Amino acid sequence: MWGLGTRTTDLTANGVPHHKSGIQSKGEAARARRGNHARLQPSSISADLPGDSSLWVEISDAVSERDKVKFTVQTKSCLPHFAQTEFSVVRQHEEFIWLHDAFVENEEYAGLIIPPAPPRPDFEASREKLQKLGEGDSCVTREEFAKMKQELEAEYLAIFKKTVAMHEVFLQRLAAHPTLRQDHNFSVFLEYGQDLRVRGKNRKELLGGFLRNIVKSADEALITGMSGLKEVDDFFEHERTFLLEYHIRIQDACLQADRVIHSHKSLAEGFNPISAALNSLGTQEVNQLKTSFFKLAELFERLRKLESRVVSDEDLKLSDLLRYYMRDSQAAKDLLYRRLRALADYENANKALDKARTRNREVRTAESHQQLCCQRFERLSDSAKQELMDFKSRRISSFRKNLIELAELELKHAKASTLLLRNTLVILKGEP
Amino acid sequence: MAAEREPPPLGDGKPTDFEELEEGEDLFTSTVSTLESSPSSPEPASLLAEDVSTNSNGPKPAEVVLDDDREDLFAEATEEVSLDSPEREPIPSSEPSPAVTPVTPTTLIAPRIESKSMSAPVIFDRSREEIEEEANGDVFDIEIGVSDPEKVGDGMNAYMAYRVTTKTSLSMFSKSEFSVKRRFSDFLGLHSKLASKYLHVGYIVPPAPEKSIVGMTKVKVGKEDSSSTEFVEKRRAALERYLQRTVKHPTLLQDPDLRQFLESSELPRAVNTQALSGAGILRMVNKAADAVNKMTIKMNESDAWFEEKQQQFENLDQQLRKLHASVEALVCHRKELSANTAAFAKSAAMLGNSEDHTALSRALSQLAEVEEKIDQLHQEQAFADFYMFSELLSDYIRLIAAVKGVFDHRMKCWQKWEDAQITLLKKRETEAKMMVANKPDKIQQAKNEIREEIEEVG
Repeated sequence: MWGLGTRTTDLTANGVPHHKSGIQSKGEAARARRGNHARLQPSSISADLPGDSSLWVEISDAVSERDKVKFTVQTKSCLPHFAQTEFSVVRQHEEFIWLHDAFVENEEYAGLIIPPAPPRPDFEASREKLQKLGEGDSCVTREEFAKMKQELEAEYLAIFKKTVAMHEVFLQRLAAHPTLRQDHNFSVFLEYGQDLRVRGKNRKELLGGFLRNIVKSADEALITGMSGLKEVDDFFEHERTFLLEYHIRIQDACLQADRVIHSHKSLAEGFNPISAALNSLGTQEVNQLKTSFFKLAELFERLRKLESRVVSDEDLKLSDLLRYYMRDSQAAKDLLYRRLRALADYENANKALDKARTRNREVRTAESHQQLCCQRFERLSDSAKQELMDFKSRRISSFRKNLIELAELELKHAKASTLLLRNTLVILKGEP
Repeated sequence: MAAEREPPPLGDGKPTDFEELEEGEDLFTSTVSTLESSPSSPEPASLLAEDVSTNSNGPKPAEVVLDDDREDLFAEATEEVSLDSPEREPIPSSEPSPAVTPVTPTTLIAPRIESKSMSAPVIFDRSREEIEEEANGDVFDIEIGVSDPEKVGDGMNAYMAYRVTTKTSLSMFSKSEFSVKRRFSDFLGLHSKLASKYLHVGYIVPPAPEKSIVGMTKVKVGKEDSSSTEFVEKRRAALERYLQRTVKHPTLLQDPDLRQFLESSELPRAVNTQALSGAGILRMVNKAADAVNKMTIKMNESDAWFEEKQQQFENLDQQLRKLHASVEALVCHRKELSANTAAFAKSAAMLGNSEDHTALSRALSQLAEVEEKIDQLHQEQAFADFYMFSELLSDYIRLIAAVKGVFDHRMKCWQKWEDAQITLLKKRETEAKMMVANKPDKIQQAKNEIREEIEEVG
């Protein structure tokens, strides 16, 4: 019933499978809607989560071991189905993915946008560089070596922080969603003290997932191509065209932004050898030329620091924003697909019913089947509408916040660097 | 009057020199007559005077002294004439001028040598220019521009012709503004002529930009892409800087070849500069021989000044090369960044178009515009970085190579001097032997040989 596929888990959390009783869910839903104030969000990507103090999730700590990252997930809750009010567990990336897939495969949530899974923590690039540095480059001076090591460590730390933030956002969106937060798997994830013993997907499952995607897109193409299937609702028609195009564009923008960040980073790093070379030139010269060289070397050093700060800000505010919404729009697209599938099923059921009526056989089953499909479709449509509107408002406010912050930071850094350059010019010119 | 003043071996550059000075100082017209006698004297002194410049006794910038002379009393100009005269002759570069016995002119100049500070060639150029400007209110005004690269001809025989424009108020040129068309091999030809005349005397001749077969072939083939236009622009700027450096050097400025280059509309094709010509191959062989020589010659550096300077130049060369490499990497990264920013700007614009919320759409389009501007700025910055910083560094690296060439040449001269001395010794021994054996005719032969040797050593 939970659609866990072939992966095994040790699910015995409270010993009792949790059913959503009507009263309970309504009460909780009411509480969710009451406390709609903005909560303090560590990550600014999803700025507009409805605030609710009844379930607070955060990642309080993270440890990076050789190739794994262990997150400490802390929960504070006064919800009744949790045994304690405060507890924390240690989770790994695979367990997050398991939780995400559990949601996706669950039929009950077909009408909702499932928050996108956090990306795998990737320290490969950083690790490679660190290794290369460790192997030793004899033509690099000691100061340069120390500087490069420092930079690499800072980069490692930045990547680490980012991955923690991504995982946290995922959990927090789940916690904030009135329907998703009540999921049994979710509570297990938050509460179960021991290892969930979720293994990562093996090759067969990965291939299976890949094939499923292909089937899905073929199916989608078939459905939309079907002449009989007309979108009755203008809203959805509009959303569909919009989302399709938007997703492609945002994917492209994300890719380009990544490239810009990458080349900007190499530019900033390029200032380092220049500074070192100028320094060594300065030690050779005398008097005025000497001080000029030293001043220039210092200038490049400071410029490098400024530029790297600019790069990291751009990365956080622009690149990450685009990436997150690329994934989110994919999730929205998935939702639309599910709805479309339900519509197709409904149409099929209608046809089957007509056929049954003409043949006057199995009318009852056909009727009930058709009823089911109709209900499902309508349910999906309603929730989808709500979700898509939420998606839009979430997206707009998040973009606004991040773009404003990006612009302000860029201004700040630009002012700092103009000041720096101007001062250096004065000093260089001032010396006779 | 000018013609009379002209000592026989001198080129036609000299008289105008005097004219210049004359314009300023009329007092000296009376002394002009005395000069007529002096030109004859430099002949024996000429070779010796040449020694002054290559003499390792003093600092290399002996040429600086000449300038000083110019601004001083006209009487000093006699030294100037005598010192300069050897340069005027198109001396075959093979003739060495090993320094032996300094002669009277040196004694006058010696005190000034001491007073001149030993400055690196970099500042050397500038200080000379200042002295020039101070001299008799004669404005050292010559502006050279290289512009309008044009493709002439077609196919593999095509070449780029550049327009060389000169604006000057120096009277040695016939007009004050003129321009001619030159091609790259003409520039190389000029450089080789100047080098052959001055290098062995110890001047630093500014190096010409390098030949680039790949770049030129692309241009010849007619590929109209950005890399070939960049290449042409790079070359044009380099040629301009080369000419400007050359004319800054007062002695080189007097050179008739240079003037011919700047003025005459038709120049004989310098075929010797072609890469695959006979002269080219000869050059390569010479370079290889030089490299071998450098490794085998071990010179006893008697002059600490030279040793120190050589070491300094080695260090400077290394560091400049490192800096140059990092600056080039920086320029490359910046160009990449600019390209990526342009792509991102387009992408953001498309995203803005597809966004249906109007305010956000507008914001995204504005973001796209800003990114485009940033891209433009990055391009300009890369341009500036390249032309002002990177090319400057590479010019100085080449100059240092030229300086090293002068050092090497000095070493070669010393080597030849040593060899000549050894031979002289041997010949003397032979002569002594002959004397003992009492063979008169052999004695005569030996004496002749000795005299030759002395001349060569001297």
